[in-house]
Amino acid sequence: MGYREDPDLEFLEQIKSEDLNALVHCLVYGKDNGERFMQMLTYNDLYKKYNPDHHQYWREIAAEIQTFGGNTWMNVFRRGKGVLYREVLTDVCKKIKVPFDKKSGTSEIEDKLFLKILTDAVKKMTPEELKNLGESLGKGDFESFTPEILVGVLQTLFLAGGFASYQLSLIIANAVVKSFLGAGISFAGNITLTRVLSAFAGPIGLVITGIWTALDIAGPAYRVTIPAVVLVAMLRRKKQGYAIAIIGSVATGKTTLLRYLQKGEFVQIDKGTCVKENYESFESPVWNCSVKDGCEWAGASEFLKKQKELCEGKDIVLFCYNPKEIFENGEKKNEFLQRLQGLDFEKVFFIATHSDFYEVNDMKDKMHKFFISPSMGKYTKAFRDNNSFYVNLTDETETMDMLKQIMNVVEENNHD
Amino acid sequence: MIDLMWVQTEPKSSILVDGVAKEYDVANYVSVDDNPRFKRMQNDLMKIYYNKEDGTIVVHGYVDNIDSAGRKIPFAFFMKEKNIFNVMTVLKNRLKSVNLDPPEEIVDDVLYRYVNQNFIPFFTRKKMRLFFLVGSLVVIALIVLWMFGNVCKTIDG
Repeated sequence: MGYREDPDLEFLEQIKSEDLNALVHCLVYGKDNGERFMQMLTYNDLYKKYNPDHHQYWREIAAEIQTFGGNTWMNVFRRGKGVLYREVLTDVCKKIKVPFDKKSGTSEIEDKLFLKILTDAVKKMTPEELKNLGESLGKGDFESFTPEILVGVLQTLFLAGGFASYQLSLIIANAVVKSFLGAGISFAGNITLTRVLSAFAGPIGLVITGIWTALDIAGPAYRVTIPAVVLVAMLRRKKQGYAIAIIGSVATGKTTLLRYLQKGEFVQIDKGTCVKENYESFESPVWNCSVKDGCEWAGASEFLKKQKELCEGKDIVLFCYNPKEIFENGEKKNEFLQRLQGLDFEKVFFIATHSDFYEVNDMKDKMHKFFISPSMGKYTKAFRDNNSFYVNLTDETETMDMLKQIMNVVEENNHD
Repeated sequence: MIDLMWVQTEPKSSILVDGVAKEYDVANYVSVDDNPRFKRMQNDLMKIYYNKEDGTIVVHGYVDNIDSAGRKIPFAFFMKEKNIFNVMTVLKNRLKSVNLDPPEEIVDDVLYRYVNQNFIPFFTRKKMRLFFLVGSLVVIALIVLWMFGNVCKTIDG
C-alpha cells in the first residue's frame, strides 16, 4: 500500500489526531466493530507505533482511502497504490446519483454530495418533522413548512459558507457514519446543532438505507468509501476555518489587527488600505486555526455600503473603533451608528483601539452608558462584557491576550 | 466630463465629481479589482486598471503625505480615457483644497505609460502586421516606380 501524491488529500496533514478518529475508525472497522477484511492500515508500522496519534501517519490514512477507491486487481498493477481522491469522490457521487459537473472543483463536488443527501432527507420527512426542523433552524415564521422551502433554507445556509455550513456538514457526516458504522462522531455541539441533528437522524438514515440496499448488489467497497468521502469532505470544511470580517473607520487598526492574526506580532503599517485589497487564506498563529481568504476595504465612509457585503456569512466580525473620536466628533459618531446597522451582534466583537490616548475605565463607563441609553433602541443589547475590549494595538501582549479571549468566546458560543 | 476621485483624508474622506467634492457612492467606480473587464497593471507606486470597452481608467495610489497613524494616504481616481491629460490639473486642485501634495511621480508614470501604450495598446499585433504589410507594399511600389522612372529616362536618353 502506497500513497499517491494527491492535492485533494494534502490537507489531512494539518488535521488534529482527535479529528481523524472517525475517519480511521471508518477505514479499519465495519458496522459490528469488527476489523475489515480488506483494510491494510493496522498492519502498517507507523500505525502500530503511533496509534492513536493518527496525525503521524496521515499519508497511510490517505493511501487507505485511495486503495479502497480503486479496483483491487487494478491496484495490484498500480504496485499497491489506489486512485486519486477525486476519482473516489466522483465514483461515490455516481453511485448515489449526485448531479455534478466534471469540471467543478473537488470541494464543489463535495458540496453537491452534501446537498443531495440533505435534499433527499428533507423529502423523506413527515410534516411534523419538517415543522420541528424549521423551528430548530430558527425559521419559525413560515406558515407551512414544505420540503421546497426547507431545502432552500438549508441550501442557502450551506452555500453561505462559514461555521453554519461546517455544522451542517458535521450533521450529515454524523448521520451517514452512524448509518454505515452504527456509531456517530463524538463532538461537542450547541443546542441548535443537537436539535437539527435529531431532526435529521431518522430521514438521513432512510436515505442511507436506500443506498445500502443498492450497495448489497454492487459490492462492498462503497460501504467504506461513502462514509470516508463524507468524512473527508466534512474535515475539509472544518479545515477551511473561520471567515472573518474586520470593520471600522479610517485609522482604527483594521490592517494592524489582520497582520496580528497573520503573523502573530505587531507590524507597522506604512500605507493606508487603498480601496480594496485581497488576502489569501492563512493559518493564524494566534488562534491556531485557519482563516479563510477575504478582502480588506478602506475604512472611509464612501465604502460603508460595502460593509454589509463584507460581513455576510462571516463567523467572526471584529469592529474596530476609536472611542475618543466617537465622543469628540459628531460625524464619526454618526458613522459608528451607521456601521451598527445590519450586524449580527452574536458574532461581533467591539475593539476600542488607541487605548494609550484615553483612560480605559473612564471610556468603558462612557461607552456602556452610550449603548444603554434609550436612543440606542435595538442596539442596547449589542454591547456586552464578553464582546467589548479596550486595547493599545502597539502592545503585543495586550493585543494577543485580547485575540485569544475572542477565540475562547467564539468556541464557547459554538459549543453552548 | 465626469471624473470621480477619492482621497482618504481625515476626519472625512471625500470624492470629486466634475472637480467638485460630493456625497456619492464611489465604491462601485473605484473597486475594479475583481472586474475582468478591467486590464490590470501594477507597480510599486500604483495600480492601473483600464477598461477598453468603456474607455475608462481607474488608478489606485498614494499621495506623498502621511495620516495621523503615520501611513501614506491612499487615493483612487476613475476617469474617462479622453480626459487623461487633465488628470494632473484635477488632482492638483483637489489635493491642494485639502492641503495635500499631488503625487506628480504617479501621474507622470500613468501618462508615460498611456503615451507609450503600455496599458492601452494601439499597435496590437494584428495592426502591426497590417501596418508592416502596407508599409512594405508602399516601399516596393516606390522602388518599382523609381526603377520604372529610371528605365523610362534611359529609353528617353
